[in-house]
Amino acid sequence: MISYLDFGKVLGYVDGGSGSMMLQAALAGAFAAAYGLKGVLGRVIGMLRKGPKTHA
Amino acid sequence: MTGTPVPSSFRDPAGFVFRKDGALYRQVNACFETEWSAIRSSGLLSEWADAGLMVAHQEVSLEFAANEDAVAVLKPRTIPFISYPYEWAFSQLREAALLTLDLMVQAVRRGFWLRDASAYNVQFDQGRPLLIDTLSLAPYKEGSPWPAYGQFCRQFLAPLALMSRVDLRLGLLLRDHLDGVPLDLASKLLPLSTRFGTGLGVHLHLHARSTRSESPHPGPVKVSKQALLGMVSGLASTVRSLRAPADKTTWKDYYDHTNYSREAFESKKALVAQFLGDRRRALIWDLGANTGIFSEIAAEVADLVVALDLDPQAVETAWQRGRAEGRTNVLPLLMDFTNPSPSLGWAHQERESLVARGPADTVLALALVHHLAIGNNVPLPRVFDWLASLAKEVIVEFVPKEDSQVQRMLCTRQDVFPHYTKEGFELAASRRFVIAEQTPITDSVRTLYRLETR
Repeated sequence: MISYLDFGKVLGYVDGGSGSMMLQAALAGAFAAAYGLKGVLGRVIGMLRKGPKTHA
Repeated sequence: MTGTPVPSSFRDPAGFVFRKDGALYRQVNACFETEWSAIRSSGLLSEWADAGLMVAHQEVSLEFAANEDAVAVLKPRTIPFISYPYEWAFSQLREAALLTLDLMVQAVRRGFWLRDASAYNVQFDQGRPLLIDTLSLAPYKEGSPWPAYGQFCRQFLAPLALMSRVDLRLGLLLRDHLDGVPLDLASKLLPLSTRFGTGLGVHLHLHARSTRSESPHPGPVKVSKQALLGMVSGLASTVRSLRAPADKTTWKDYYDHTNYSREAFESKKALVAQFLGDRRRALIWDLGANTGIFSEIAAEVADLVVALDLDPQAVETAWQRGRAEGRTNVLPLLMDFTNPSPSLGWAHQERESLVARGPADTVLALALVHHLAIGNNVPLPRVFDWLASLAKEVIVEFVPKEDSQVQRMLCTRQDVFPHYTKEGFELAASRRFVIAEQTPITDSVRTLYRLETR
């Protein structure tokens, strides 16, 4: 987990790209994890609303 | 070169928009041939056009090309009135932002993406936002970060955050910053509370900070498709979390505190409808439209009414009410008539002034002239010179000094307006117009005129 104050240092390790590119690269893991979690939650909520799929 | 390039369309080497024999075309250049071929065969453009998310176009023969570099020529449906992000209400900018992100997600899932995210690529047509830049779409580059991320944050996220969390009027920063509000500026202006959290904290404050440490030697930067979709999804959540502040403003609540009696207000509405008659018009401009009550009357006889007002809260209310009522032919926009949208951008030609986007068929100027003449010291002859430059027909209201609204304006200042009388008004109007009709508004001291240019 990268804290706000650490981030400047992290950016320093990323050699290259504009600030926008570097930010995306630095946070790619967090973005991907958040997206994966969102997908799982969406499926769970969908299942709770509709009930589990019992047949094809 | 045959045809005239549209002045704002010169940055993209992939193609440009031009006019020829009165019609609008978009040329796709040879350097974009491979990409265009992939886009065309994906069917995405027609799907978006059918869903009302993108402007529809038909591909026409290369005979229509502007030059020999063309590999395709498109004829897009024409948008009846071009508006700009600095003229939009908060909710209009928010809807345009969400459209951009929605299309980006759809595109990435199909192996494409939006290679830019300019707010100027969106226009409002038939009551909804529409992507107009067909060539924004390009094949997705696996592993690459989104090149338009910074642009999206400058053009959409920063102004939306400032309007929502500081003041609606900060949307006008887009007029000075055509490529969007600089992130460091937005970061300085936003309250401390916005620094925390994964929305504005990351996409705006941290982003602003990261742009300060840019490197001239970019190394390998990798962003997976899942990370890209996660980032876009996070941006969409952040945009959705922003709301227009519900401030009370003079103009938004004007009709609640007006000096009109109910009878006078109904009389004015009936007179406006009567003066407009049954004649169908393509375009009506309602100047000083407030929340759009009279624009709705005009919309009965117009393909499009552009409802212009200087109060961002009134424009916001007009847009939200139109949305709620499913009205598709009233476009509320922000406009200060003492300082209307000028020609802007490269060589003063990228973004057109308000006047250059006219003329309208008819202009409504209801309860406006006293604000220009007394509130802003614009001499009456100049007011009518300006109105004559906007339309051949003007429906205008005269509010005399005896009216309580004008009394209120004069109570704190010296009356230096000896010519502001009904006779002076008619004399000034007559220099440029014929007075076709005039009728007093019942239960008031005001008069409504219908003028036609000489």
